[in-house]
Amino acid sequence: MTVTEERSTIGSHEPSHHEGPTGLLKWLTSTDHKVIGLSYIVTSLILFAISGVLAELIRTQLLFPDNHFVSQHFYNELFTMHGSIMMYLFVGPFAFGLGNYIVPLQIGAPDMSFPRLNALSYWLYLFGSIITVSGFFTAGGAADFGWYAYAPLSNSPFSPGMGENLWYVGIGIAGLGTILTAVNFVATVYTLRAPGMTMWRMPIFTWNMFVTSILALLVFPVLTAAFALNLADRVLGAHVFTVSGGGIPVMYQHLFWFFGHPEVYIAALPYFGIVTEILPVFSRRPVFGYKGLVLATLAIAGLSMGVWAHHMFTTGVVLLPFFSALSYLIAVPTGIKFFNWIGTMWGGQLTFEPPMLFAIGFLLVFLWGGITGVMLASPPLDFGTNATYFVVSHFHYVLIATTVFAGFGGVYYWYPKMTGRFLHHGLGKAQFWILFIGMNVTFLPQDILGSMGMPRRYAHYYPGQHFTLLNQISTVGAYIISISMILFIINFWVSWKKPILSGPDPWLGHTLEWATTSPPPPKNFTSLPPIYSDSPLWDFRLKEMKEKGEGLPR
Amino acid sequence: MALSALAIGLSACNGLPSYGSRHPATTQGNSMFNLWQGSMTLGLAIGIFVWGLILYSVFKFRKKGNSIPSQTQYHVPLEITYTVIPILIVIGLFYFTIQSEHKVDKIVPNPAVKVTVTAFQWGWKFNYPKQNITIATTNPGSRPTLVIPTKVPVRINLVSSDVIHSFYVPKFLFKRQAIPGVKNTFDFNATKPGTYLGECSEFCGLHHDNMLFYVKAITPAAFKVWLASNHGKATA
Repeated sequence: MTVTEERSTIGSHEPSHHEGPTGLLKWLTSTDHKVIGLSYIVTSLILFAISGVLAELIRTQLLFPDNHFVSQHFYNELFTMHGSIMMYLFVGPFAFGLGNYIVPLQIGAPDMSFPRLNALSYWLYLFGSIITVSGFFTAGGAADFGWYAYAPLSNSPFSPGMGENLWYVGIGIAGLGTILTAVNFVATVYTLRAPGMTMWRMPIFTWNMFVTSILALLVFPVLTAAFALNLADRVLGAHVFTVSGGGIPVMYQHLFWFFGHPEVYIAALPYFGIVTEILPVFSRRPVFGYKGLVLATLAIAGLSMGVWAHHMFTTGVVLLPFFSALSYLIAVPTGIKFFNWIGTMWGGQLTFEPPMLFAIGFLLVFLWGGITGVMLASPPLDFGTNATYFVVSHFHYVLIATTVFAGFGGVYYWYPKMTGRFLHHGLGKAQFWILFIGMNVTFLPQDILGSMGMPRRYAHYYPGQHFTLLNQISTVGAYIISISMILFIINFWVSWKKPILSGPDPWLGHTLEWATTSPPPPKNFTSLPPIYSDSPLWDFRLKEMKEKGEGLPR
Repeated sequence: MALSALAIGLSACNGLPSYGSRHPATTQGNSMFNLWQGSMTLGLAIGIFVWGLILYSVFKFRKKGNSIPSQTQYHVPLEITYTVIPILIVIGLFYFTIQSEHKVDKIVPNPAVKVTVTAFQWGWKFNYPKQNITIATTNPGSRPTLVIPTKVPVRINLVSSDVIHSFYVPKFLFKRQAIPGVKNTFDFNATKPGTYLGECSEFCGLHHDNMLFYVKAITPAAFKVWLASNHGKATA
């Protein structure tokens, strides 16, 4: 009946379909962007789970005042590795995994530009991750100087031990994987778009992966250099960041946050992209203000290069008004996006399958992260709240909105494309509601704790400080979040054992990935619909529906 | 107990709630506190407006029937409006931020007392150079007391002798990093007598969370007596 179904029949007769190795050997040797994408997704989710367990241990330690559930030393390892795994080994690679699978499909390409480089990137990421985490198995334990490893605390006199060296080397290697995969994304988007797929017709997810990759190319080399210099201080006796040898410790903060703030947007833009894919499809409308949205993304990327020192307001050595002004300004393009998202839903025909629920959850949660973020753009407010739980709550609202709500939204949305099956709707909805409740129960109390003055990275607080009840509520929230994650694993298992087939285009998708089989064949497409807008498949559907005069199906 | 603290925290002061913040004990803190109250109120108002729009869309536009919805993708006047209004809001916030920042970071030419604060793993040393008084953390976990007069400006020169630390007094709503190789200078005027907890707020290694101190503000008259009786002393 439809073009898609015809194509899927043709696709299944592709002669290359059954060639080549299968199973483990296929996974080890493949250069197919879909296999590599799945490898990235699965690896990053395993690391997410490990890091989540560390977070639960942190929250358990904070359940009682002056608690001794874990030692002070191990507590420092816990929050260092929780932050490091999440920020270096999960948020970016999870997005690059989804991007690896989806971007070539969305632009009608057969693969990434450099398939072997793509495989190399993944292997660098995997081994870098293993090296980083392996610090837990050394005598001195894993790294324990915080995920941003400020010099000179991170130097060998203060933090001796092999776990720290493994941390630098592992993250450096994984970071090289990120740099190479970013090269690949930029090249793919520039050179492999199908005929008719101009830049201004690219789906927003592809746009955002493209901009994210440019940001990664600009800042990951700076991180690598900062780590290399720090490692030289540690093992070669250099004095780049030590006063005694004529070095400048505060220089490390500059290098780190020059990477670190754009990194926040590397952790956000791909997920903004996912939400901007889901909302139109489940509203049966095109993206509202597409061009303005793309310009807002470019503005965010540009501004994000000039706001790093708002992480350094309390150092006393940065020009406060300049960095404050730019930090305030970056709220504007982010605010614009909210109106794009609301405008997309406005006047639509909304349905609430799990991807849509997670996308709406993203909007509600991310807004609070944004509001508290604007407050932190003000140096006088930052003097009070910096390095307290107010900041901890702020960035968890941002990062859980993006990587968890939008990220799981993307998993529920594209799982049928990757496997030809649905994840169970009912379990998905339950996971959403439990996550939504648990998230707010965990982090809203932390806003108040921070306002009251509870510093982050403290393993102990005391009864007289009135922090007990709020910490206990927060810990219960963290346990609720873990229930929602267990539900996801159950959902995965149930959907694997009792497949619910989805067909090639279960959501009436707007973009090209839905114009091929699920999962797509090697080289992805046998033919493509004509491309005249940013939602070519939806144009085709609309025309078909209008010709038949039947309106929306179902 | 925490609830009662919360209730005290949320009780109105200048008409606006404190949103959990401690009521400040310095004039500089008052400026930051007012900015906090204003920003939080504005932020919540914007939040409620946008949350309202999201939830309205979700309930109002849920699928009814099978008609194809409007496919409008652009509305330029609306797009300009929702770009310009946020710009105006952040310009306003920036104006008030700069006003407050000038008050908070102001260094007076002749402070009443100067104290050199040295942070180290894991403790503090408070040195009054003119009076030759030194108070420091002696054994791990002991909490030295920084004694200051109320009303008059107090100058702190903050340095570190090893790694990066941060001098944080929640009741002052203020912190500043102590960085090796950097001398950070700031002033504050305590408004009323009292003893306030101080903390290290930049992670500095194993006993970071035990690097606590007190700030004890006493009247200028009492402070004079204290200086005289401690002249030349190095105490813990």
